[in-house]
Amino acid sequence: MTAEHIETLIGRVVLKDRAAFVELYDLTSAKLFGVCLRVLKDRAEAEEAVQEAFVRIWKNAASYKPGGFSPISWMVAIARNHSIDRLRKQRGGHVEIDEAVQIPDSGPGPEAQLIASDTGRRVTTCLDGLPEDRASAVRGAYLEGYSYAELAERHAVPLNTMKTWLRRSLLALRDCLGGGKMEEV
Amino acid sequence: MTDTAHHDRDDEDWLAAQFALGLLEGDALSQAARRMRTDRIFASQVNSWQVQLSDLDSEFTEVTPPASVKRAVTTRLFGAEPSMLSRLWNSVPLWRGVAALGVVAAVAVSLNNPVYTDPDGLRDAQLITALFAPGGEVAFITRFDAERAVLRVNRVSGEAEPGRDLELWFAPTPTAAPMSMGVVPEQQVYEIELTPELVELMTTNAHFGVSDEPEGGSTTGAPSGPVLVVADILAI
Repeated sequence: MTAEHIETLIGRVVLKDRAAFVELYDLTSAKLFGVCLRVLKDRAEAEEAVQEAFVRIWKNAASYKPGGFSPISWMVAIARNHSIDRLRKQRGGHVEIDEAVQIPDSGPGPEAQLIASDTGRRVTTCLDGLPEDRASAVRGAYLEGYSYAELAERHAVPLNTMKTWLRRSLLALRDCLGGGKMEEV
Repeated sequence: MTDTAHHDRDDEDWLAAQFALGLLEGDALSQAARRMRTDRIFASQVNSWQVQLSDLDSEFTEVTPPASVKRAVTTRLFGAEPSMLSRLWNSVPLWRGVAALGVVAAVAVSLNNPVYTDPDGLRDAQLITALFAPGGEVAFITRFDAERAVLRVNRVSGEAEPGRDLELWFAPTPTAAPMSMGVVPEQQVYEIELTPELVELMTTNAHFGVSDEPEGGSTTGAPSGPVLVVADILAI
């Protein structure tokens, strides 16, 4: 499963090629289901979420642009955004953000291009430079879709402390990705 | 940079990071979502975070979903189990054969459709397609000239990279496999002569696309490189 092949399939899906879509599903559904399951932690919910993700991929394939996201990451972002959306809705008090959490425009913005060309540094490398609990909080937010309240509870710190942790960690990550030194977090 | 400006920049970037992570809730989320649509700089900051954070995607473990999910997806998108005809209709090798034969099979299906099948019942409508993508370099306009049975293609902007070609594709229905309308030549405006069978397929149900291909065009009969733009035929 190469990135080029996935990209080609997405291109054919743009032109509504069903066979290409089925192949794309076969190649990527395990990854996307893994994402939905990790975030939602409920099989039935994850099955519905991954279904919805593939429907969106079929409908929005034209918004994929080569060059920013890897094609699989673009698909992961669709599955992840939708899963988080479902998660927050389940818990109530969450505004409807189906529209809001848009499928990310995959073309790298000027910033992304800048960062990508500046340094070869990656988030995983830069996370290693953070204290372990801070890195774990960032991973929890991205991989598990935890809210501030959940993260605060899991790390047994007050909500505002968690917000401060994440703010400092993310800004330190940004500086690290941009080639700067990691400041003390 | 003043301290305040520095601080503002951090605030903006932090807001973008929170949006990308899915941490915003309530009013903060609604406001950020609105800015995603209206503020290009903010949207590109969010995008930048999303691309950077996607480095963590390798930490998601693969889990094969049950077969029922695949059935549910295909049924939702394509209706019930496809008939033999629709499976053939969507088969690329068949399309290549059909294209070579002058789209004989397609005639049988669309014979009863007048050329201008548009829901508004417009008379003397022009069938045009505006192919462009926001921020994209490639833009095309096609116009179907029914009297002369030609498709006029105007390459408004964009050209292939050295050693590459742009290729025009046509799909007569939203779900049909695309057929090649040939590699885009160098001149800005050109015409493609249409067989009577293809003329019949020029309806608002059809769409065009342009892909980036190896020199000489796709060798697979389907777009093999990135599809740069795609758009429906419109009646105006």
